[in-house]
Amino acid sequence: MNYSKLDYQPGLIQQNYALVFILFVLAFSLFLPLLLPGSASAKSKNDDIITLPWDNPAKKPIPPSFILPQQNRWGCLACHSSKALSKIRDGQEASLFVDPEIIGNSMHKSIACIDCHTNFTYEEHPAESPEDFRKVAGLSCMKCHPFQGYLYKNSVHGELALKDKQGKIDGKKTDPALCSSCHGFHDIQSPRFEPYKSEFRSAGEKVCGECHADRYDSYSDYYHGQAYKNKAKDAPVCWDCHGNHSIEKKKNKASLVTEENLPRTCGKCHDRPTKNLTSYAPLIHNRRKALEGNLIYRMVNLFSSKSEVSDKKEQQAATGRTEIITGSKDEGFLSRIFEFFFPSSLRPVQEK
Amino acid sequence: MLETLNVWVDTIGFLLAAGIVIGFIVPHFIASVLTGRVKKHFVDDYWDSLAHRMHDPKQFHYKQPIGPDFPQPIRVWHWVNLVSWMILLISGLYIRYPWFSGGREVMRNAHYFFMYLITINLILRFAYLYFAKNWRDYLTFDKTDISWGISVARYYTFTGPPYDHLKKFNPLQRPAYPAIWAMLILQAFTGFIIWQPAVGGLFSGIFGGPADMAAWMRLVHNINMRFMVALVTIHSYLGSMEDFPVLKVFWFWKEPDLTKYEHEHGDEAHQEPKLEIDESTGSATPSH
Repeated sequence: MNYSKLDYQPGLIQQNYALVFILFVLAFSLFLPLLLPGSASAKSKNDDIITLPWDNPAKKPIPPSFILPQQNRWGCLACHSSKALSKIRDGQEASLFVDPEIIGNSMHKSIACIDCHTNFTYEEHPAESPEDFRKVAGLSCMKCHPFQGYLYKNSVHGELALKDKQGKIDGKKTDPALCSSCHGFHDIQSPRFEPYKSEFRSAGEKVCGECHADRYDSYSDYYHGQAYKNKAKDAPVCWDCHGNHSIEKKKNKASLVTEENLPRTCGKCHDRPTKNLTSYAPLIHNRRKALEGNLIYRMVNLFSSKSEVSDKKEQQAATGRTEIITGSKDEGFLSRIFEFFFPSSLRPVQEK
Repeated sequence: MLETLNVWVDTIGFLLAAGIVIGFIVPHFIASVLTGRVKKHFVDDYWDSLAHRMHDPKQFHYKQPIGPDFPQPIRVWHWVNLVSWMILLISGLYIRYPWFSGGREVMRNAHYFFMYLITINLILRFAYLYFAKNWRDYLTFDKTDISWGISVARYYTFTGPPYDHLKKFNPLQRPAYPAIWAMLILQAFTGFIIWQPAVGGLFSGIFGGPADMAAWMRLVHNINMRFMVALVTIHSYLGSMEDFPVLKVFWFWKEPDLTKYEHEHGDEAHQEPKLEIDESTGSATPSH
């Protein structure tokens, strides 16, 4: 074979590399604005003001003359550090007190109030509802944390929040989670560093369970849920499986807990799991339900003094939840026998 | 699949535990009270096994102290085993069913420590079995064991008199020891796989992968644990109820007072068998 043509072709490889590099730079510069969404439009108006859907563009940015709140937080705290500061809202006294000590101990002690409360960058003291203030402040994090912001904007929480819509949890309308819903606000700390790192990890009930109470309650299998709730440091917290900033609905393909993605998700802790292993996954949130479907458990329940078999109808009426057993009730022997042969969890729910 | 099986392990485990207590221990204890065995043993302090030992020449232990039947290494082995078992059981149950906060680290480390201890203990037990050359005590079975086994079963079901002690262990008791060793080996094997799934190597491919293998081994570990607990519960109960003097020797190095059985009622009529001494070997055998 004659290798002479392949052996040395001066400049060819270097030229190809150069071409690829130029194409890459061009492509990158084209897509850069997409990677940092919002930045291009924001920069066109004002470098310091984030553009959020509920910002009113008709209002003018604050002039330099209103210097107190813009320079540091003490401008705002001049009034808001007073415990007496309050207003009447819906006929009730609402406190407007902000504890300077809490802010002083937070991760954001060195930034100004208006860095988060961007509504107050306008000349007038805005008259929106407190919900609006919270939304603006609760999402302003994306201004300094664009990567997390990008992930959040494309998540189930972010999509709803940015469209100013409510989500549904078990049929009940619920406000979507903002950055501050999980991370806190005036007392915010970095979840990357101890001791807050551990504290944040153990706060699954507060962070996720506040809205997804039924899912948190049903997180009760042996090695994950029960262990987590009993402060096992190596037990997974909600976002270890479901993801955090980029969390998706389970029916979405990008969700980390779809049947397709479970092996990879479980593989974060388990050594090369297959789909067979992930057949354990339903137990993580459904141990009680699985027990109810078990013949021996139902037999034992017949002879126990209290039946813990769930009354689905009662549950739904009380909480709108579908999965969790919230209480037990006394039942007669006959009804227990009936329950044994026709468990309520397997019966269709009758519409009223 | 794993979801369903895990729940079955829980429920069958519960049923097994309840079955042992409700189906065996409680009825046996009530029957022991009603037939006067409890009074005879624990109030009158009269043990058939000791009386037989003193008066029945065909007994394996005829006129011998109990102590030598349980050499020191075996006693130490049993103590180490008991402590390890208790801690492994409690910590293992905690790992599966955590019932209080913040115990995972301690319980898991305790499980790891005693895992090593009990494994070493088991290896030493096998070494002792080899050097003491007493494997026949545990691993033999012959035709006479069938009729003997029936008489033992009849005694425990309150349908027959106290059984003979023809060998060190009765035929129902004897297979329990190799069974426990086999269960311990299985428990050690499955435990190591759960702890380090990678040690399964290529073998883990049968299950799909290391994590899958660990999940199945975890199930086996759990099921086996329940059978071990069932066996040891029966062993402890019968040991206490039927052979308490032996238990005291084994645990506390306290030989019973055998002299009280020498002059018991009816001894006047009882004729001591003459001993024939074999001068060549120096051993004495009773003659009738």
